[in-house]
Amino acid sequence: MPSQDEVWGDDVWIARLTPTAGSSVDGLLRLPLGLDVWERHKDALVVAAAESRLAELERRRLADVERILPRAHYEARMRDGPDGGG
Amino acid sequence: MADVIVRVTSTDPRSPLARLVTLPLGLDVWELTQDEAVLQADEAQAARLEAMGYGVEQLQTSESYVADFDSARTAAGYHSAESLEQELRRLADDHPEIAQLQRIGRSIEGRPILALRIGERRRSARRVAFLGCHHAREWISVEVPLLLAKDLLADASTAPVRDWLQQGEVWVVPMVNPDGHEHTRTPGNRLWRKNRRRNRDGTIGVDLNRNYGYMWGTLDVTTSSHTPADDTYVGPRAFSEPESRAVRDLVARQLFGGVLTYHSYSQLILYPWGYTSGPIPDEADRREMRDLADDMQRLIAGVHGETYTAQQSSQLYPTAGDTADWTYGEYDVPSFTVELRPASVLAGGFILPSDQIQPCWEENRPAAHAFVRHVLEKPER
Repeated sequence: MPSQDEVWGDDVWIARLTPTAGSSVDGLLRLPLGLDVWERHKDALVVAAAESRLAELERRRLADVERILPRAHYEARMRDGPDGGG
Repeated sequence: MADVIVRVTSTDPRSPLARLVTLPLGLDVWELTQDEAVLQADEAQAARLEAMGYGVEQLQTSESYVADFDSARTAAGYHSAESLEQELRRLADDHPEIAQLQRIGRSIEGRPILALRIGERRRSARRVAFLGCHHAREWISVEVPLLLAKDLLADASTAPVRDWLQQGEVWVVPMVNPDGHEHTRTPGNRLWRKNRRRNRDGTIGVDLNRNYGYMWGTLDVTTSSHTPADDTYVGPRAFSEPESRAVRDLVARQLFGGVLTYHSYSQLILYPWGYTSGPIPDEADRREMRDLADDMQRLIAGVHGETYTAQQSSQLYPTAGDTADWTYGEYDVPSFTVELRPASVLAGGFILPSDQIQPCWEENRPAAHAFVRHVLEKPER
């Protein structure tokens, strides 16, 4: 069963979210956004999230979004890398 | 009808590749670039795509892909649920005097959840538990507790391990979520997190590390969600899942003096609370866990120089219903979540190269030993 994001046909990105002025990392975490949080830093989060959710964050000016790479590319890169990592 | 992995290309502007993901054909698209898509389809779907004007090239059958994938992974040194069971069984068979394999429950798909009890059972009132793999994609969290078990058994006749195993017991449950772990071994699912519960709305999975019964469900945030489709779905009620119930019942039976649960990644040593930013009210407990976490941080850094930051769990993010909050909140015992290698997604994230398993274990060994020592040698309160 694909996740809801995949049902919608959204690309899932690994992205860095930097809260905009007036927002905060804690504030982002308190929102029921359904983000898959991979890393927390003092001033940013690294998440996996569908393009639609990232666009929503940008539209609501809650965070600046740096799209690092599509999650599928990350998986493929790690799978096909020199070691593969399993 | 056999599934095939195909490469799809398009030269026809009426059939753009981007449209593939919106076609109501039930395609399982793995990769999509401007030039081509790689997807899994059955033969009828592949024929339909050709009829629509797409170029379709069969790369291999899904069956052969999975076989290749599995053998590559086995070679890479990570365990499956099945190979883990074989290894645990072998360890118990090779050390019958001090090791016993127990099935503590079954997953929702019926796989055994296994615990290895290590100790001489002389005067074993004291017990400590190490857990792994609540989250399916965190493969390194299986390997570290398994290596701990192997290491303890290998050193069982020499101090200090000999003394620990005479004084008490070490319980190791390397894979709490075998269904999810198996799912991550299938193509396209390497980053699955939850178990494989079919939810009422048709989505799959409950986050097992949000399903424990202390302050369960008190948050509804990104990292503890009440939306079934979300990766951190807490479940319909506390202990709704057979996997978390298996741990609950084990802890209730054995009354561990301490519990450490491995996860990845980020290189952190987390202690309660996760459900609130407030500190543990009991000052002695707070100091005990903070000091022990600081010790573990120092011990880990002393091996390969890696930094695992000790902090309260909620400083990472808020989590209601996690394992360590429950074991501390319910049983008042030192409880930790250790987030293993790597430190960042740039260093691999959840997909840790297998050549990192050994150094990751090496650096965690003295910290695990310190935790065992602390729990088993602690003066009575």
